[in-house]
Amino acid sequence: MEIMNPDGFQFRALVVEDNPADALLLEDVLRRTRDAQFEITHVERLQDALASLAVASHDVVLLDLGLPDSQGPDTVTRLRQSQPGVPVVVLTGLDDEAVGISAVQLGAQDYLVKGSLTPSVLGRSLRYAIERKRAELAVMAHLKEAAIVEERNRIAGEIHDILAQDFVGILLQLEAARDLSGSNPGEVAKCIQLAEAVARSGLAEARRSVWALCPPELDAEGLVGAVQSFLSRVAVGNPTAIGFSLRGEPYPLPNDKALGLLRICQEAVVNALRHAQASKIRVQLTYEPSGVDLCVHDNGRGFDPKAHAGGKGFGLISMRERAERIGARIEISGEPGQGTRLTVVARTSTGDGEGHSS
Amino acid sequence: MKVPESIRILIADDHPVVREGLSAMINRQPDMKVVAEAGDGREAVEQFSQHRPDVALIDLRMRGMDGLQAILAICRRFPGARLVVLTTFDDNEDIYRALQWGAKGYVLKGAPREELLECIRTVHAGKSHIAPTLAARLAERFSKPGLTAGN
Repeated sequence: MEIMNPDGFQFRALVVEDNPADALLLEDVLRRTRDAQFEITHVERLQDALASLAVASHDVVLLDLGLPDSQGPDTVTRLRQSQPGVPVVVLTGLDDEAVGISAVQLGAQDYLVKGSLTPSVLGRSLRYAIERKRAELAVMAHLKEAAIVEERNRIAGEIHDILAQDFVGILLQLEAARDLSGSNPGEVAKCIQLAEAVARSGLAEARRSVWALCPPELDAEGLVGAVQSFLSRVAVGNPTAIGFSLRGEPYPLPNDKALGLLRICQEAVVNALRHAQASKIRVQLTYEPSGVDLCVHDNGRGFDPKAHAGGKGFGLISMRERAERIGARIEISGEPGQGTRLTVVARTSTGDGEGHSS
Repeated sequence: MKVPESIRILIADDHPVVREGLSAMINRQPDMKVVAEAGDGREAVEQFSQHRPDVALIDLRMRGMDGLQAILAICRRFPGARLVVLTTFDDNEDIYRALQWGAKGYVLKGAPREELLECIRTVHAGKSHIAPTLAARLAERFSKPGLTAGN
């Protein structure tokens, strides 16, 4: 992305600012930064920013939150949904620190207060934003890779432990049937029956594996039905009380979004069962006109979200990743001993937004 | 004519249908008899100690204590044990270890049963029986220093 040159670094910055005076000032400050050089593209609207990012790569975006076509922290969300890989530094007015903080919570790397910008503050903030984002992307890529490897190993393990053994079992019975065909018809029938039974259970296992990879209920019954049938399956023989409730009128969701929500739900419920020692788990789906919320609430031993903020715990990372992929946000609240509440907010983005299904 | 004594065999596999199928097939051979069966590694060690079979067939991958650990345990306690490794896939690193630790033969599950029977007879006769494809790879591996330590 950047070109190394002997004098320092050169970066491409996209300045999104509708106020011409502010924009000029920014460009001036940027030109005077010493430890890096910035090649500046300036646009005035969010739509133009998205268009620029779609056609050319930029190393960093400097984003004003009061644009003609988008105001407030939502601007960050919309930009990130379209271009999750580009670091964003937000510009706020003097009295808007709270807005800046919520922009950072929504994924901006930093916020800067207009009017107090010096070349060194701005240059350093942008450099840090770029480096931090790069490190974040590298970690994400690594985790994604690790998740894929883990999934592959799991599938290989299932094929090995179940399907291959079933084939061996069938083979042995067929060989036996061949051996006995001349001498003992009664035994032959038994062998064939056993082979049939093994083939049938192997088929059921194969179906289960395929279901886990790509649940057909999702097509047939939609997200609500798929969540319900998952819950009723885990509830069998489980002492934990698992409840489901639905709010609002369900409507069809894009496939990747429905699958992402189902997977997060499965992971959250399995986590609660395995680690939380919960006696009750409640799953709720809320259909709002603007999107769907999923909430998984348990009364288990809870956990400290701050301790997990760095993303320890593989389940949490992969849930966050899944959420990110469908443009959703995960909120986890809970304290040790108080149970855990996980909420996924998957609101329909205003733009194209569906983004990066895999 | 003298009737040779049957080869007494232990089968360890955690898949019941595989175990029963192997057992039935072996018992149909005039010169072989299954004397014990085990569903995991721990049972395999127990059954081996109790019955002292002439040959034991041990699946490498079982739930609980797996076959590799069982092979190590048996070979340590009974240095003369004649063990045959059963595996589903032949690219398994554990096969090398099992053979290093003292297993005498190796057969891929689902191989023609003549191969398994021949392997049992060969190992019972005190020789090694390793599939030719694996033997070549094995020679290559064991010629590399540093890989013989078991890791």
